[in-house]
Amino acid sequence: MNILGISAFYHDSAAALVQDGVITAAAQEERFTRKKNDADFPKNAVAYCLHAGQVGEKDIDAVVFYDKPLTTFSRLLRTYLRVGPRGFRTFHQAMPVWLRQKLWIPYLIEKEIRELGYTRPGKMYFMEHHESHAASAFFASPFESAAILTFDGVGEWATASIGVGRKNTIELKEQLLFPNSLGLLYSAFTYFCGFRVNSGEYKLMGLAPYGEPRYESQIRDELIKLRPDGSFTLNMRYFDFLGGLTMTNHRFDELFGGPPRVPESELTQRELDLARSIQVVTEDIVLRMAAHAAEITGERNACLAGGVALNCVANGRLLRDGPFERLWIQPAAGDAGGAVGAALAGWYEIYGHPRSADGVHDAMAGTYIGPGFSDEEIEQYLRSHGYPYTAAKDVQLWANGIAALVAEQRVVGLFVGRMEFGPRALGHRSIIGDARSGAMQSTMNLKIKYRESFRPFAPAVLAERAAEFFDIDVESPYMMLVASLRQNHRCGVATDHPDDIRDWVNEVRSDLPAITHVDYSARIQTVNREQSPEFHAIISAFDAITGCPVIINTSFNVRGEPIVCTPEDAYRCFMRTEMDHLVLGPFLLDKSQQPEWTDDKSVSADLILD
Amino acid sequence: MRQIGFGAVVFGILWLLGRHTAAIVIVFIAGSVAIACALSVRTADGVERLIAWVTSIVGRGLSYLLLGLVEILVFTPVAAVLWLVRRDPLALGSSPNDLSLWRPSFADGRTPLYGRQFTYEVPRPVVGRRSTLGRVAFVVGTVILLLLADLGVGSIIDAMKSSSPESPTALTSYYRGVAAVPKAPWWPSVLLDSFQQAYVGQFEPLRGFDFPRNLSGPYLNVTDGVRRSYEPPALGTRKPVEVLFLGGSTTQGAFQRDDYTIPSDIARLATGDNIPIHVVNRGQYGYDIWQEVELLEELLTSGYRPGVVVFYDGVNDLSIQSTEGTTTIPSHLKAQEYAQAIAQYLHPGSTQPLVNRIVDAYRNRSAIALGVSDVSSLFTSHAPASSKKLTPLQGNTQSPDQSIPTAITRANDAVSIYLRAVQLIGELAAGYGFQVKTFWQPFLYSKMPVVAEKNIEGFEGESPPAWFAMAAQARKDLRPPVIDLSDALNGIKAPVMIDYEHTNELGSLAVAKAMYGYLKPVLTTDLDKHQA
Repeated sequence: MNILGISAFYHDSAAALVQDGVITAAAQEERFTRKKNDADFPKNAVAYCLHAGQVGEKDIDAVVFYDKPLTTFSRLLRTYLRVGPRGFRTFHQAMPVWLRQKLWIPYLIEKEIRELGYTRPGKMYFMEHHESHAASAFFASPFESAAILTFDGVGEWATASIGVGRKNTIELKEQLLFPNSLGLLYSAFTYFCGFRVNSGEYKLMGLAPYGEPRYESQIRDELIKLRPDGSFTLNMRYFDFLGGLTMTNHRFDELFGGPPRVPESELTQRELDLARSIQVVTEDIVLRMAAHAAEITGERNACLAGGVALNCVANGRLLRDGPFERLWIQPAAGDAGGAVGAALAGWYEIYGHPRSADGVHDAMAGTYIGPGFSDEEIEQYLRSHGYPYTAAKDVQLWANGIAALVAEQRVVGLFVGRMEFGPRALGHRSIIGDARSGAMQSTMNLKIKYRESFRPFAPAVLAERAAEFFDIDVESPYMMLVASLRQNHRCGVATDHPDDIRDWVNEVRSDLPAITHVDYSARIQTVNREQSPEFHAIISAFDAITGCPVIINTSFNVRGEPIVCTPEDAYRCFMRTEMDHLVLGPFLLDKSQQPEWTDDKSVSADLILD
Repeated sequence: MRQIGFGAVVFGILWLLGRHTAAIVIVFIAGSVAIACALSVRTADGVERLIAWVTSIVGRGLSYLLLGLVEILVFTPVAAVLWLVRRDPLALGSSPNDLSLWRPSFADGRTPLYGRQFTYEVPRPVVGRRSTLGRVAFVVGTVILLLLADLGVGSIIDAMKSSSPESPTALTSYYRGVAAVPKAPWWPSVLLDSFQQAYVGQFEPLRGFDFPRNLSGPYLNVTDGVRRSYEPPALGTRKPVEVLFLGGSTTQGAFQRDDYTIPSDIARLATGDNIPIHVVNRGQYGYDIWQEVELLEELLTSGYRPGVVVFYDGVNDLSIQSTEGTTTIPSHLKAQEYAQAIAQYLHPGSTQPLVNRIVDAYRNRSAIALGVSDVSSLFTSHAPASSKKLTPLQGNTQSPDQSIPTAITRANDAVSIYLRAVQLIGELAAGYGFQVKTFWQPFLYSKMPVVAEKNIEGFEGESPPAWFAMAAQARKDLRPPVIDLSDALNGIKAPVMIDYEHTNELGSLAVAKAMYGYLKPVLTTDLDKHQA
């Protein structure tokens, strides 16, 4: 049975295919169109999924959309009734899109699928937005039963929901309704600090350790009215997102001492403190919600999804201080993951198939469910373009060679196997480097990623040795948890921090300076042999050479660009940055041997600042 | 292909609207562009870009306009009301002061609606198979709801139509096709003012109905029921002959300027003959001779003493036989309508079967009926709906029998009634000491046909042969002292008929000249009497 899940038309559109209960393919549309956060119908992603699953032209049994458009539309209309003529600026932008597109989603889906050469799907279903998130969290998790917590900006009406999953069913028990939204609260600060809403939130999270929670009381006293159970109301006097073009208004400016930071301008202490303050409040809300969820569900395990679940600092706090023994967080926690959730909900909830879970293995297959390219396809690409390369004779030699380059402080682009689904690169579309290098963080940020250098890189560590370096006793294969570097790897730093945040971040404060944040925290990926044998082999080889089982792992892209999908994307990114080597499957490319790159566009020409 | 398709659509719309020249120009332009595009790719690209740019601008403008209207007409008023009653449309039953903001899931306790685009619906009670009675009740209820909706929408449309006066554009465009219409700048004003009078007739207990006693316009003025007429210069010290004109709209001068009505032309002709004259034009839309007699009696009893009284009638007297049914007693064009209204007031429900009244009431307010009527009028007549009602200025009902024998009977009866009035007028003239002339008017069915007048529509779609027969029979029945002016318009090559009874100013002058031939001796006699 082939069930196609689709999320689209808001941001991060994606498609996923579940075949007889197994997620066989999933991808975000942005990876194909190269438009960051592409919200259009995921035609390319759907085509990929159906092709990867070898689905016959008449064999799509059901399409499940991740949202209920008419309910969302009713919320939109009520919003405009609330704001009156003030909302006309967004009303005249939103209504044509709804009238032309979003009210006709079933017909649009059918038309697009027909254009791909497939017949009309047998059935079409619509899940609630948070039901899709919940399904992506629970049905993909290793748990037989668990509490479910989802939170994001907004779905139809819900902004957060609490439910419980048992075997093949999900029951959403409670929901927090628009406009009271933790996601929108966090996004308001993202906007105010000069980052792009819906993509810059992780920057705000990365900025938080530099600041002090000086504005925490203003947030608690003025912006929200927080209840003990984690529910809260937003004081809409300070926000403009109901009918305006911005997230916040002049009262917000007055509360926090001036207008929003202009994007790309210098970061000031105010932004650092705001980031820290909202992070503290967010963690508090998440903890309270989790406590309430544990109370009403009686479960000891929890599954998380929704955009806020990408806040791995809050996740780490929840793991340490929360009421649950185990956490599983959907790696594609954002809206893209809704496609997976919708498809899984179709299989389990709509069609009622049984589900079994062993408590250990999840259903995401390491997230390596995106497009992959055979060695022959990659070699054909390289030969046809005349790009020089060397081929490894076996996996071990291949891994040793890459590890040696990393140990020599080279920056290596890694393109192996199937692409990851979700926002994190987990070793198949990654840029890797030596975590021991004091200069590596700055080098990779400025010469390869073209981004602000205050953000630390994430470490990829062999799962079996993670506890030696980090204060963590569970696996974090999807880079969804933050843990502290152990004391024995830290070194003392001056208590007076430099004024310039870039000097501050470059201070050496551990024997793994490139991945150590100013508060010694790190966003960890634990790599196990079973899920990612190639990546595990590289780190093991690096460990064998250096005695260190930790390397830098960052996504294979530059700022504002989606993660690379094809060998062509990877080669282009490789040549347009100062990366030293590129690994394309079994083939290794040395920048110094490549023909001169004739693409006249600079990297910045393609950038959409995020 | 896009240009051709676009051009075809515009052409079709313009053609249907009667803008044939514009349609042909569009075809020419679209054809030229299509040929240019076929010959040059660059031109085609440029045209495509231009079309895209224009449609983008237009689309954006329309979007702003339409959404602005929705915002202003719907969202803002509702938002204001909600704000006034302190109701938050986003609250969904919760209050900011609640101890917890967590709400039960929407689908809580309800069947999940996986196949729907909305979250939940209120579950319907499980009932068994609906009984026959239930099904009938369901069908009847549905029909009633649909009928009520139809009536509601129809009432709104009707109210909107009633509140807006007839579009000048619609009126002028209808009369643009009439050959006798003057190509003069004053015509639209006269046309609209003529209709303005016809709109506001009201009940009058003695004469049946009355039209506005005062009206002011650049070319059409009525003061105390008297249409302004040509004021001749004083001719010495002789006291002018007071000539009272009574008649219908043709006497009053519908579609003619104040100074070019029949009475004005008579005044001008008399002045040319050095006869001092003062004409009083009391023509009233729709009047027949008996209403005029009544009006004359009112004037006489109030002390008014004319020297000469002129009656100019015919068409309305014949039409009464159509609107009121064949009758041998004096009546007027709205007698039946008023009688029904009075009867309905006195005995509700007794004037016509209940079913008929319900059907009539429904038909008058049904959106579907109004729509069908409007659509069918596009294909059956060029006249706007209300101008059809107004053009004859004589009511709405048409005779059920349009056979020639009936037409002859109607003519006989009409003339019989008319002659009795003439006899009474003679007695009044003798009693009050004024002179009188009674003229029988010419109209479309009694004059010699002119080719340019062949498109003029008759009385409410009645059979022209019946009218020709009726006109001919009436002429046969007329007796002195009635003067038959049916031939007055013959011999004029130019079209004079604006509709089946009203003429342009050329026509009215021809009638005045014919009339003056009979009036001049009378005027002279009256003048001599005063001089003596």
